[in-house]
Amino acid sequence: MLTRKDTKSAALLQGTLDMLILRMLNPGPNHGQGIARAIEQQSENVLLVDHGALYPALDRLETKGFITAEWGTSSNNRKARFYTLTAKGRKHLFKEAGQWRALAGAISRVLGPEAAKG
Amino acid sequence: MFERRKRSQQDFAEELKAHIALEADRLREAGMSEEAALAAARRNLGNVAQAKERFYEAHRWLWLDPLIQDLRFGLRQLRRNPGFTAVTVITLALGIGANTAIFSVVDAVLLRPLPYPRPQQLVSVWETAEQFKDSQVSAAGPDFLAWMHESSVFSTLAAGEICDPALTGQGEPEHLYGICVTPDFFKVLGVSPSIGRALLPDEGENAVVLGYGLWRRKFGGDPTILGRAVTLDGTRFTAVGIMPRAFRFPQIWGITEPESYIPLSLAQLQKTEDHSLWVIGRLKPGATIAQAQVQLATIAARLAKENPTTNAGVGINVQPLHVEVEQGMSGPLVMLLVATGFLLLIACANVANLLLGRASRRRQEIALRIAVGAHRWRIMRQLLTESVLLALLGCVPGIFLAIAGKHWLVALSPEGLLPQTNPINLNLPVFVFVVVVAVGTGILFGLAPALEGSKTNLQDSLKEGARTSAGAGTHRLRQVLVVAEVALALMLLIGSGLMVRSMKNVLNQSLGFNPHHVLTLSMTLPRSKYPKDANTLAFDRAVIRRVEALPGVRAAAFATIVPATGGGFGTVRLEGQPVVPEATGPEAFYGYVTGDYFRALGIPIAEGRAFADADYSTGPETAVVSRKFAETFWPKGNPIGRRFQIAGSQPNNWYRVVGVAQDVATNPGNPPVSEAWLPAANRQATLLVRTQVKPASLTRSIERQVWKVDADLPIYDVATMEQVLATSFSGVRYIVGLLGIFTLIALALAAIGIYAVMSYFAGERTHEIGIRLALGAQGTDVLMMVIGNGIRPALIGIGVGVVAALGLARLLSSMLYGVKPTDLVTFVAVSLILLGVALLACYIPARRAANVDPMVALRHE
Repeated sequence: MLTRKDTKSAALLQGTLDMLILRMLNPGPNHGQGIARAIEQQSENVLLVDHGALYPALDRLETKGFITAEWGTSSNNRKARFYTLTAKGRKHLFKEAGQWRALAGAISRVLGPEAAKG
Repeated sequence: MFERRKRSQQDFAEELKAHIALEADRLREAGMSEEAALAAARRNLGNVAQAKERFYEAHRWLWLDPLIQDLRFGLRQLRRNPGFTAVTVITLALGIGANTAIFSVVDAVLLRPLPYPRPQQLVSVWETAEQFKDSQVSAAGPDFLAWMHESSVFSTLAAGEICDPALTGQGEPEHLYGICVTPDFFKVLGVSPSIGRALLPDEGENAVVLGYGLWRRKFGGDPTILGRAVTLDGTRFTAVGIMPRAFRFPQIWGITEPESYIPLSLAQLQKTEDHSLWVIGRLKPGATIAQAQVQLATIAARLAKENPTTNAGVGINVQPLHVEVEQGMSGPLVMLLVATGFLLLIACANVANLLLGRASRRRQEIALRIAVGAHRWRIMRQLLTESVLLALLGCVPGIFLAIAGKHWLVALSPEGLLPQTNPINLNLPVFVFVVVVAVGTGILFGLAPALEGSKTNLQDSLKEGARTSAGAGTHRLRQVLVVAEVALALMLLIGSGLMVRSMKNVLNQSLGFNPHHVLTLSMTLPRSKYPKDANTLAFDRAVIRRVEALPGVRAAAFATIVPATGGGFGTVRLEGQPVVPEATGPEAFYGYVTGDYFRALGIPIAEGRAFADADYSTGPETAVVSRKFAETFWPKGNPIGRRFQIAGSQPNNWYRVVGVAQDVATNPGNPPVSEAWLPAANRQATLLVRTQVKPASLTRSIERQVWKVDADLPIYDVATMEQVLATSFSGVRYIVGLLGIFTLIALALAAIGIYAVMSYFAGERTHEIGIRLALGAQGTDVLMMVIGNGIRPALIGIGVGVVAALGLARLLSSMLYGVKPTDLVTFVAVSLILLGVALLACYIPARRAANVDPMVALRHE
């Protein structure tokens, strides 16, 4: 996902990107650029999304029926394709998010409090 | 996967554009300039092209893409060369159509199993005579009964014979083509009437099952006919069942669809020694024909020991019912299939040649594509796709041709020649065959140009003058194709030539009688009305007297033996010879005649006399024999006055020879046989009338005279003698005719092929010819040179074809009559014909080449 060589950002797995996208859509519909921007903002620029890789992920999610898409107008009157989370997608999101949090917690416990400093 | 394609690439491109715009907006708000923002936005998106590609790939079956591309390109190419496309499509359609039509017949007649339950268990059983190894005879009643009671290998066994009663009381009296069968007949085939029931084992004698056709035609399809009385031969029968419409009789025993099924009483079978029964049986599950053969042979051996007079030397032959139904058509049909196969190969060779020519012209284009990075295999695949596309295009008119062809094949076939137990139609296996053939031919003739096309020498091909240099490989290949075409055409021509000569031999055989102006009418007198021979004789005499009194009638006679329609035969025993068991001695045909038979048919009497009134007064004691008979049995000395017996004749007297007649072709297409004619009346006989005028014009008057003697008598099989003869030859004519048509088409295709290749090669040498002409060569010199070069592959082809034909013609020998498979005249004549055609095909383009203006030729690239 990384395209900028000067940043020490975490490499994320494909499934994780999917999960993040769904999360960004939970509050409401958004377009591709908006989703990427949102991820970057919320992670305080730690996670840098390769906008190019975003679209195959969106495509995948659309095929699986987790999101639907429609052309609409953005806040500054640009034409954009807006994605909306479906009920099925929401369910998937909660499941994946739960699994991720459990996994992250477990790793954290194993690493112990010293890892937090590094 | 396909639903996603609803979203077009256009749509995705727009989304990406929107993304960039939005990102640029944000960056501008953050303070960047217009261009910097746009640039940064694009950079952030990453490789747009890659994104688009990823989208594209996610939404398609990737392997389909090149295929669709190839197909589109191929179609465009074909559209651009309509002439080429038309010629190849027609050529292929001819090859595929002919093949498919013949194959559908082969499938129905030879390949498909019979339309009965578990048909592989069905067999027919014949008796054989030790002396005559190749022929089989019908079974005798007691023998059949012995098989039924003593064999354990059959689950059911049944016998039948022709019974053709006269149906009266239902409109005009009609002669029915029916059979008498033992009660298990229906069980053997596994069929039963759709209305009513089959015949029961303990059925009385007077039940009848009717055929569907008769029921509809004569009884109006009335189901209440069941249980009602039907008058057959003057006796009341009860109709107990109607056969289903879909039922198809196995077309054995010379019957297409029996109109009536009457019970054959087993008790009566015990008494008759006649070999008149046709036997079919169903094997038990797991039993084999070999086992049946062994078992029945053991029974036969026992019978021979116990009854040497009747059964010595009598053996058994069991064969699958399927073979029986084929009626000997397997040879001719396979031959036709092979012929159409050759035709298809020639068509493929032609198309391959045309494609090779085209590939040469596209050499530059192909070289360019390879130069910019196309994989050789990709090029090959594309050329192959074009070829398969061409083949499939040829499939379409090919199928129409096949449908029409099959229709005409069946419609024009002489009746009864093509066994239609399985209806002949184009069904799934045939269709699969067509597609396989088409794709196969596509690959076959596409392979050559595809291989050639991908082997181009880049350097040379990219140069401007590349058009003239057809690679040596291509040149050689095209010549090889011509050799192959000519060889195949030669083989076909030889096959046809041999068959035509054979047919001519059959047709030109001396008949021994005068077939013109003779009318034949068949009648069967019911036993109930004519219980004694004297009654039949009286009938015969009355009819003859009346008919001969008609104006325009020269002579009339009744006979049971008529040329081209057969008669009885039995073993001959000469006076003074020891008793010979039946069916093991020399045989002769015999028949009963009443009236002036020899004059009616125009058979000259060579020695002695014909029959006179006195000969009829007592049971036949005299006989007239054919010349062959006299030569076979009394090679030295005068046959007149000698006596002989014929087994199976009624009564089994000693007959004294009073006359010798010229040989008659009783079995046209075969050499004359020993025949004897006995003066007696028979209940089933054919009335032969020699007329002065056209025989057909007297039909009604003659029939009226017959009905004046017996008003209820149905008359059937009315035909002129010429028609009867034509029918007996119609099968041969049909097969040979078909073979001839295919051969002519093949010859035409081969000629076109040679012409096309010659044109191309002559065109290639235009430059060279121009030089020669400019240097002083004459037109004729050029002509000779071009023809000389062009005729070489044809000559080689003829040579190869002759060698191959010498080997393969042997396979035809069973179908040839009076002609050896290596007949020199045929081989020479055919070779000359083909050479002539090849010369002609070479001459035309050669002449064109020789007549070219040297100035033009020199400038030609």
